[in-house]
Amino acid sequence: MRFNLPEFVDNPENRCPVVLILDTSASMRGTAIDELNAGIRIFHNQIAQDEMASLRVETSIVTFGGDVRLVQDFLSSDDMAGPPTLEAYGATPMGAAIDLGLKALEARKSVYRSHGIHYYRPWMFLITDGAPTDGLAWQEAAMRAQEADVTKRLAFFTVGVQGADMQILNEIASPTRPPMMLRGMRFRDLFHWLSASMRRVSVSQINADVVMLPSVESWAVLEA
Amino acid sequence: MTWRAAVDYRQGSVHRKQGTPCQDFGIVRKLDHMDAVIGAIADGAGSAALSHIGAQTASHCALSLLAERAAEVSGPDETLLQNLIDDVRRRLADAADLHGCSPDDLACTLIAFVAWPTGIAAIQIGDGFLISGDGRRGFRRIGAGHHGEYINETLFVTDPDVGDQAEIVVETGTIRFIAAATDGLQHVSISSEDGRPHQPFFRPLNDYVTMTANDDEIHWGIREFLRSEKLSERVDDDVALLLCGWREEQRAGVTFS
Repeated sequence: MRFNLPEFVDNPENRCPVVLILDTSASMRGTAIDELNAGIRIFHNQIAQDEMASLRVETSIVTFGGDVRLVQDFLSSDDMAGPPTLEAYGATPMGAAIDLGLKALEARKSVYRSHGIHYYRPWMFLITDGAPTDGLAWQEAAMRAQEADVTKRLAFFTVGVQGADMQILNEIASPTRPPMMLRGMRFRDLFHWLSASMRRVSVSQINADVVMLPSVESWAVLEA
Repeated sequence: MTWRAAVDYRQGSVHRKQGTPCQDFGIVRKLDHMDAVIGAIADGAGSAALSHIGAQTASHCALSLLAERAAEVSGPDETLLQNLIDDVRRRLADAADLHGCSPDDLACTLIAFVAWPTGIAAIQIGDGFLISGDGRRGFRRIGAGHHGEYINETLFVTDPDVGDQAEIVVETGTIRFIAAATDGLQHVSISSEDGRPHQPFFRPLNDYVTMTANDDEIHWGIREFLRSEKLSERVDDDVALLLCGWREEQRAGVTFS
């Protein structure tokens, strides 16, 4: 008896959503915003070059500078012509940005669910060089983000850039994931790390808590 | 009439590169004198250090318990699966002592079943799938399998609340074909939209296992499939696949002219 190869079902790829919440306030002007843009381009290129990650990793970008904007709503690198170039201006409405990130993620999850798409735990990645300027909105937003992290609805990472109010960032960060401080202007190394991490997560078969992430040494100073 | 049955497993490319042992395991035994077949497959947790030993221990333990218990009944019966998880967990705890590790280091999923041509009793802890076919109306899933909200999270035999979450199915009805597999095969064989088995995936397996003359040949067929280029291109995880078919012919040993 000959063994006839079975026909495979054409299931959609599993997805690995990540939302970047980026500070584009006036204080980011100059080297910081240029390096942030370079970092985002590196992230996009590294993901696009990885066969599996290019299909699975979907990136959304929320900026907060003057106002809060969803500049990119969950695109895989295959669907993306190129990352947007961000400009820096205005105040730092961080609270509203965190809220928009949370909402965008939940909306994406329900799209996945309604289409029978399996997914990995989303990542939410906040980068700031300042302190929130939208009153105390950040406190409630941070509580929501922390709760989402602790209950494993997402993994919430926070990174402070030179000038960031690390005390407030400590209050915003999840208790299980303290904020990290960017070494100088090492945005490129940060996004190299982020793309390497997402590539690992997007092929992981095991619990997302124990995916071995690359070392953050190249870009981060861990806050004591 | 008799069962044909075989199982095989292979290491995924990711684990081969990392030098991690194959964490999937399966075992099958026929009780021809009572028209029963017993199978168990397990998938060791990627995060647990000795989960390949856990998968082997859990499969062997479930198989020998079910073989003992099947001798006491004439068909699918609730008593087959009673306290089975507790016994498997105890065996894993003993194995952990032996290896000087914690039971969590042996974390694994488990699917175990006893089947007759007239019904099946099965238990499933965690992901992977168990499929049956009645020879006429196609293939359906026994149990739903468990993965958490995220595709890479599941339930393990060693988890504290496993007793409440294990799926137990005892049912009567014609059984002509059984396929059990670890989650590595799920993406290519089960529709993620409605959770149903993809019929063109299982049909050739059903034909192969019910029409092949002996178990060794079935084993080689499964082996070849698991190592085929077509499958390796799509699945880089470890996989285990167990197939059983009820063959409508004289039992071996009976000669006829």
